[in-house]
Amino acid sequence: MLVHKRRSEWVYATALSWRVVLHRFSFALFFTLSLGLLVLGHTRPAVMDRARARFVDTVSPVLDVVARPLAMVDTMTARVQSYRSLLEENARLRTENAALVRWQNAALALENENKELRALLNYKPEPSLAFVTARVIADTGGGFLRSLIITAGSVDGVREGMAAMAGEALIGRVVEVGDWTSRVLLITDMSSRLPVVLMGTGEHAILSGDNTARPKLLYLPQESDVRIGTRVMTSGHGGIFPPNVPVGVVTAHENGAFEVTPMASMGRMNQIRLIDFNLAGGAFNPIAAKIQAAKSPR
Amino acid sequence: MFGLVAVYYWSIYRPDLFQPIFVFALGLLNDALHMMPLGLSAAIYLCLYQLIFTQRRIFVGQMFLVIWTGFALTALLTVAVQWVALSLYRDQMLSLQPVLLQYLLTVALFPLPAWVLMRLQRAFLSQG
Repeated sequence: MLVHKRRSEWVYATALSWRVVLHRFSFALFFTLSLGLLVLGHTRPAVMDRARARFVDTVSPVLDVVARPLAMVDTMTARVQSYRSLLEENARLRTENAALVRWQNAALALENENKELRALLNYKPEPSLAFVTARVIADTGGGFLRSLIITAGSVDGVREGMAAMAGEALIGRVVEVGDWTSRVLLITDMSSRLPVVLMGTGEHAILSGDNTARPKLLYLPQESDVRIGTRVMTSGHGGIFPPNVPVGVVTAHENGAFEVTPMASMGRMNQIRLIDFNLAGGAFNPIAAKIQAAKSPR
Repeated sequence: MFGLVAVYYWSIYRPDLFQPIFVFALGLLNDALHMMPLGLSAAIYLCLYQLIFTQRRIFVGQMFLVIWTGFALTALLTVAVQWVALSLYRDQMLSLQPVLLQYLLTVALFPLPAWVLMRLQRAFLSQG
């Protein structure tokens, strides 16, 4: 009996120590693997970027399943809120509509005039642009990154560098493309630099993200006359974004920098549109064409 | 940062089931989704896992407040390491304000995912 008990204790102790050894071994193994990946990512960034896109592709069905009920809750709360403020909303919309009709008339008149003047000058119109519409399945906004993962990839014709828009406002650009998913880097992200032009003065600047909700204007000319409420549009410089896409409004001046509030509400986007500006052709966009040519023989 | 909550919770309560391979996978997922260098979160999570695993006695059977405080410290450590590593990686100081905001929010919301994990543990993994 005693022998039996000792024996079982021994078996138990051996099993336990084996588990501990195995545990330590697997910890060491995976820790080394992580460090190896980090080093590999530093020496061969292209490989790791592709691996990351693949990985996101693989987990996208899970993200999609999680995103759907959240989007539903979002729509439902929005609906309830809109019921509650239906009367005020209606009144506000009536006044807004009256103002907009006046603007519409003005715009129609201007469009006509513009067309005539362009005909006089023999102006080459900008080619029309191709669109891809996609659903947002993950908002990976955090302290370190502002980006979205969307359900459209290279299969749907998405390519790196496409401009992303919500409604009529620019929100960012495509930086990573998998087969079925891609990642949009928002203009609020730390590494986003967007060439913009200020409406009214026509001054150029760079809109620089810093992971906060409001990116800042950099490289404004000295003595520039920026006011709170000035609208900011893309300038089209650099050939990544089309010109004259609304981006945001200057809303504050703090610590010597002008803050721009993006026109699209960055936190609540379900559908976004990707515009292939590069499709317009090499002659129209020489820089992008060169990049494309350098990339293609791979 | 909910991956961190999972790593923290399961390292304390069921390290026998929560093997390093899961920690590694969770870290990789976090890296891929947040566009961090692949392997960074995985390495950090594994270190935390090992740290908590060796110090488990402090946490097991404690009041929730102690667990919460432990998480606040763990998350602070993680955020600090991530901030330094990413700043070095991108060669520029990342702004602190959004990082701190995210940290505070995660710590404040910790009871919520922890409660869900606790219910899961009670429902499926109760040690007889």
